[in-house]
Amino acid sequence: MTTNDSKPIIAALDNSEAALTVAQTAAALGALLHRPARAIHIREDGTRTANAAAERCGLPFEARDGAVIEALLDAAAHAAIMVLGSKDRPAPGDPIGHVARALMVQVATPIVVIPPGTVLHAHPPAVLIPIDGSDTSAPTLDSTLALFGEADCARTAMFVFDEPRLPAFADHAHHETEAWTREFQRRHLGSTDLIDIELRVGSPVEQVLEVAAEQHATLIAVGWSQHLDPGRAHNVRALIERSSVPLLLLPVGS
Amino acid sequence: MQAAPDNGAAAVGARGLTGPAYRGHVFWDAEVFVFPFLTATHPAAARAMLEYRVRHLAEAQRLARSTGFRGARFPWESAGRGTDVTPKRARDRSGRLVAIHTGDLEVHVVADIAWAAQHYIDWTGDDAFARGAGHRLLIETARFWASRVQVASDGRAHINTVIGPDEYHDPVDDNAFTNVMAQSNFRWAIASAARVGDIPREEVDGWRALADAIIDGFDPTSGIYEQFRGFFALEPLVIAEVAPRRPIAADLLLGPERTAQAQVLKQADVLMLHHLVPDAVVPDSLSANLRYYEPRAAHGSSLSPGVHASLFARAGEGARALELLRLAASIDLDDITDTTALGLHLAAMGTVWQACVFGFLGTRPTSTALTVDPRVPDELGDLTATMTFHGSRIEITASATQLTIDAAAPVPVLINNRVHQHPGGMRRWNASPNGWEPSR
Repeated sequence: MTTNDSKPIIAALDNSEAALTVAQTAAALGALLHRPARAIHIREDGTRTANAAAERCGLPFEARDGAVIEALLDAAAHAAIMVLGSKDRPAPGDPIGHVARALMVQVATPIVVIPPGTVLHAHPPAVLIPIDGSDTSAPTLDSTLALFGEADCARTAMFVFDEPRLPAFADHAHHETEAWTREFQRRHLGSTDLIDIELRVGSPVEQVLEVAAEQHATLIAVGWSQHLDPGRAHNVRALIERSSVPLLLLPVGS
Repeated sequence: MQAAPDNGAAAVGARGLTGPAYRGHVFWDAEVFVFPFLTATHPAAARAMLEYRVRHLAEAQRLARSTGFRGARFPWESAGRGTDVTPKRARDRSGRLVAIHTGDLEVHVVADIAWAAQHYIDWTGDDAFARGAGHRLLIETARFWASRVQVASDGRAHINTVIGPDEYHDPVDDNAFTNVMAQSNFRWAIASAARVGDIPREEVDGWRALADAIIDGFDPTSGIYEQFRGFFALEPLVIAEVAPRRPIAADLLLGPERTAQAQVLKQADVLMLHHLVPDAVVPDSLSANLRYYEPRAAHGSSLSPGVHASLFARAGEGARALELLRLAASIDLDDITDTTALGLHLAAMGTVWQACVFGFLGTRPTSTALTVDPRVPDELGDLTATMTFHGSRIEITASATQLTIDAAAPVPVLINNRVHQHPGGMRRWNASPNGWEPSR
């Protein structure tokens, strides 16, 4: 069964050691979301690694010629989700390569970025959705839930009380946490009962990585405004640099 | 007010009937923070709140017995049946499953209820209550304390392993608030026993001896009460200087373990004595303790700003009092906790009233007169409160320079430490360097 719009999951494969992880992730998402999955490769320096990765994962493979970024932008416009590696060329000090950067900031399609240290496990699918209680929280959740539809996948939202978000008052901590959580759910999670919520205190990046590890998350869904200018998207950059789990980047509030 | 009818028994939960938060559980918030407003303005509703405790006296006696004590041990959290409903475990905002000790250790609620009974008697002069249900409350709570205190070989009495209002420190020994409230509980019970005359003399003498022997933590050299044994040896950390802002939940900022090892308070603890039982603390000790403890208070409880506003008003620091009064008043108006939709913070609202009446107007009942000692800053203009004292309606208006008392009937008022027989009607006083002088 496929979804009505039938837009595919597209794996953007380069001819690097990351190709297999990208292809595996796209194939797994296709199976989970009941969407076709396929791979494309823009020829630069050979096709054999990319082709082999697609073949290993059972993905139809298409090699194109032309400018890499323009070709991938075009492909992404027709995809439900595009999957790609975060780093097309090693560049110490910057976790995001130039192709990933261009797609991240220009494409309205959700992108799954595979950080360099990603290790795919055989855990049951589980998506972790960090939200910060801002105006982007509801669109992040809505986009995630829309993508995952009826997929057989655990969904957990999480909120981190970092210093600016520490509560002023916490009268009787047990009741207060219960009440706060209930109201937070009402405000930001709507009426869905598909979502559990985890609370943490501390640095958002540290806590997201910790909860992702605790809960064996197979994907972290992050809403972001598609701005990678200096001083922006600190958490997205840090997650791409440090996560061992693929990141689903959802353009919201841009 | 919707939570407390004029008859029957009223269990006023932390959010009253305004929302489901806190599951309707009844805490010390009811007696200490909500009750005073009702006692002064709607005594019948206050009486209904006390009736809730009276009707569950047997449950409180059972709880005392089941935990190895005598008398009545009212639970930290209760509901319809009057039994202890404090959760034993819960997840905190760090996602950790933590043990909740308040149900076992936050026993000051017993004395808080006794305080409410005495407060009601002082406000209303309700002799039937004082000789009946109120007497039973005072006696049974005193009996609990008599079994809870431990007398050391040096003859001093201690109350160990408790949690005070500052729940960041858990457990502690000889919490000044708990000890002095228990001491006061003994003294109210002694007075009640003298009034009613049905308690064996040996038992009353025992309470008197214990009241005299209880450690209160007061250090005469500094003029400061030690919040609990060992508090002064904790990490000296002035949260007013190290936190990015106040109010703040300091246990989340610093972590619960670090907070427990530091001189950081969730809310007024020693200072609650100056607020609730000013006659039971060393005279003129407010300012020194306020200067010491307030900068160490994170105000991480919604009860804290209003109480401190009241105390700053009494200390003559009007600007700081007003700042904290505004904060207390804005807790629900500005939805500071993000939980107002699940119910109003009735106790915090009660502190706003207390800051105005106890703090700025300096109005409190004693058994013989209504004390009026206004300290209203210029910025506040005229402050008016209407109340009932011993059945008579009284309206008090005060500014920085003038005091007006409009009484529906003759009433004794204590002004400038002297009792005046207010004849009824409107009387004015003007501020002078010597206190309040009758207007001619």
